[in-house]
Amino acid sequence: MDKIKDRKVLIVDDSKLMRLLLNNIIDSMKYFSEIYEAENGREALDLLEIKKVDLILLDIEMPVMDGVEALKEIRLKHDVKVIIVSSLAQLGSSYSVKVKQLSADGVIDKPSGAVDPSLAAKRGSELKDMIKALFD
Amino acid sequence: MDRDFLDAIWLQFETEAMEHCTSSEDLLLETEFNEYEAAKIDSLFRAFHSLKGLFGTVGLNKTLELTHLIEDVIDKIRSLEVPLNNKIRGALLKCIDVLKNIITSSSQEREEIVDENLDVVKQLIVSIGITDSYADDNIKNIELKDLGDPTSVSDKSDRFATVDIESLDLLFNKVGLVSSQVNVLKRMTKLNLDSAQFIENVDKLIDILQTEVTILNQSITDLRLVSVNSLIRRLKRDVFETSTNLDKSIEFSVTGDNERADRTIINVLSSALMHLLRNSVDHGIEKNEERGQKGKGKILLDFSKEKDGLLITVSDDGKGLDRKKIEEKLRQLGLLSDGDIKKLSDPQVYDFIFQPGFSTKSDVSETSGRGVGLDVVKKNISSLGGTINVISDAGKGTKFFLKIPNIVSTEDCLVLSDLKTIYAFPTRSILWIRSVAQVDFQKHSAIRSIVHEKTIIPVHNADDLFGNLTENLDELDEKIILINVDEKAFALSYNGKLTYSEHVFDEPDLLVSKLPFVSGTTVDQDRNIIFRANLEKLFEINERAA
Repeated sequence: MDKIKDRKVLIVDDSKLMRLLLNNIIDSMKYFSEIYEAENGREALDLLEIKKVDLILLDIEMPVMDGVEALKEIRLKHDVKVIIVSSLAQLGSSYSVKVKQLSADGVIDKPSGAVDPSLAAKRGSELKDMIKALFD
Repeated sequence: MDRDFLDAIWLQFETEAMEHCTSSEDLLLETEFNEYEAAKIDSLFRAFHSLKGLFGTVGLNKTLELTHLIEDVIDKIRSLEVPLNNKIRGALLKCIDVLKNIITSSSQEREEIVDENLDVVKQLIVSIGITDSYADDNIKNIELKDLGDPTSVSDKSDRFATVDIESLDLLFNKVGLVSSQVNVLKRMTKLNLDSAQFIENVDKLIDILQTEVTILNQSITDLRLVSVNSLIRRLKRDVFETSTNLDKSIEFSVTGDNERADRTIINVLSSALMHLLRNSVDHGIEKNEERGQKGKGKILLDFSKEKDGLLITVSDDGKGLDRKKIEEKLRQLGLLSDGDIKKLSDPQVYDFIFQPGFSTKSDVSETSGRGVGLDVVKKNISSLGGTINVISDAGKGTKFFLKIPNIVSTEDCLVLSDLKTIYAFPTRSILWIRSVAQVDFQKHSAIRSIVHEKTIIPVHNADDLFGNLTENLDELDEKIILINVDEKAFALSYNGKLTYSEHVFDEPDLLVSKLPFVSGTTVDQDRNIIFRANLEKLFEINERAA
C-alpha cells in the first residue's frame, strides 16, 4: 500500500475536457496519490524537471509540442511509463508507426461515449486494465 | 458520480467546441483566405478534427458523423482537389452555424437539429461538385446510424458573463466597507449622543458612504463593459454574405477591436453597424466591372477610444455620395427651393441622407432592407446619446463617424408601480403631478380634459392604456400626471403608488417591441420587469384624435 500512496501520474492533453475525463477515471482507481496535468509536450517536460512521476498519459496532437516530439525527449531523460491516449493511435495512421518506434508502454483510444453518471466505470475500464497491468 | 462533475463536463465541452467553431469561422471570414494558404487550411482541418473528437468524447455520434462529412470536404480543399470559392466558404459557414446550434442546444433538441439540418451539409457536399446521389448516400448513412442513448443531462440555459478577478475584489472590498459603516451607524443609535453630536456624526458617515457608493457604481458599470470584439464576427459574416449576394469583391478589415463598451451599447451598435456596412457594400462600393483598375472594394471599420467615449468610423473607397442625386431628391420632396439647395455646402447636402425616406437609389434593394435606412441608424445612435456624421469625396469614398458616449447614463424615472405591467416615465418629461382635487378640468367637455398652454388635453386613464392595476386602490386619491416634451403634452390619470428610481433601459426585444407603448425594458431589484413608456407613441394618440 505504501507504494501505491507514492505513485504519481501526469495527464498531457490540450483539451481540458479530456483532462477532466481522464482525471476522473484515474481518480476512481484510487491507485495514484497525485495527478498532475499539462497542456502540451513542452509543459509536460518542464513539469518533469521538477516532479518525478510514474506514469504519463500522453496525447499525440497538441500545439507547441506534440506527443511524438515529447515522447522522444521523455525517453532520453526520464524513466517513466508512457501510455499514448489518442484517436490517432489507431492502427493505420502514420503516427501509429512512429509511436510504436518510440516504444510507448501502451497505446489506447481516447475514451468516448455517452456522458452519464456511470462515466468513469464505462469508459475507463480498458485504460484502467492497461494501467494495472503495467504496475502489478 | 455527482451531477456537478457532469455539468462541468458539458460546460467544458461547450466552451471547447465553440472555440473551435469560432476559430474556423474567423479563418473562413479572413479576406485573404484561399486554398493556397496551406497553413490556414491546415488549421481549419485541425479545428474540425478536434470538433469531431469532442463530439465523440461526449457521445454525440450523429453530430460526429456530420462533422466527418464536413472534414472530408476540407480535406479535399487541402489536397487542392476542389477550389475554395465563395460558394464553398458560404456553405462551410452555414455548416458551422448548424454545429454551433447543436453545441449550445439542450440535449433533447440536439438530434432534432441534426436531422433538420442534413440539407445544409448536403448542399456543402454538392457545392464541391459531387453529385446529388452521392451526397444523398452519405447523408443517409448518418440518418441510419445508431444514435446511442440520448442521455439525461441538465441543461444550462443560463448565460454567463466573464468578470476579471480584480474587479470582483474591488467590489468585494467596497461592499465590506459599506457594511462596516452601516454597523457604525447601528452602534451610534445605541450611544446616548445629543442630537447635535448625532447629526454631525451621521453627516460624516453619509459622506463616507456617498464616496463608496460612487466607486461601487463605477465598478458595476465596468463589469457591464464588453469588448467590441464580440460583435465583429457577426459583422464580418454579414459583409461576406452581402458581398457574395451582390457579387462584389470586397476586402473588409477591422481595427481597434479590443475597445470595450457597455452591453446595452454593444446591442444597439450591432444593428446600426450592420446597416451601415450593408449600405457600404450595396451603395458605397461600385460593381466589380465599374471599379476596373481600383480592384477590390475596401471597407474599413475602426474603433478608437476617445476622452469621453468611443469613436467608430466606417469607411469605403467607393464612388462617394452623389450630390446631384441628393439634390434631385430634395427637389422631389419639395423640402427646399432650388436657390436654397444651391446655397448648401456639400456636408449640409450629405447630411440629408439621415432624413427618413431618403434613399437615393431608385430601386429599393433587398440587401439594405426595405424602408430601413440611415435615418433608423441615426435614431439608434442618438438613443445612446451618440452622434453620426458623414464625409464624402467624389470618386474616393465615403466615411461615417459615430461618436458613442462611454456609458448609457441611468435615467431618473417616475414609476407607476401599481400597474400589473409596470411602466416608467423619465422624470424630466413630467411637468407636474397633482391630485384630482387640485386640477382645473375643462368645463363643458364631453371627455375629461385639462388646458395646458392654451391647448385642450384629454385625460387618459393609465389602466386603459397600460393594463389593469394590481388591485382596487380607490381609497388612494387619484392623481393627474402631466407629461410634457417640447411642444407636446399628455395627461394621465392614475390612482396607484408612485415611486422614483434610476434605471438603465435596454432596447425592447422582438416580442416586447410589439407592445404599443414600450421604448425600453429593464428589471428592478425585485426582478420586476419595468417598461419605459414610449412618449412619442402617447403623443400620437392625441395627434390622431385632433
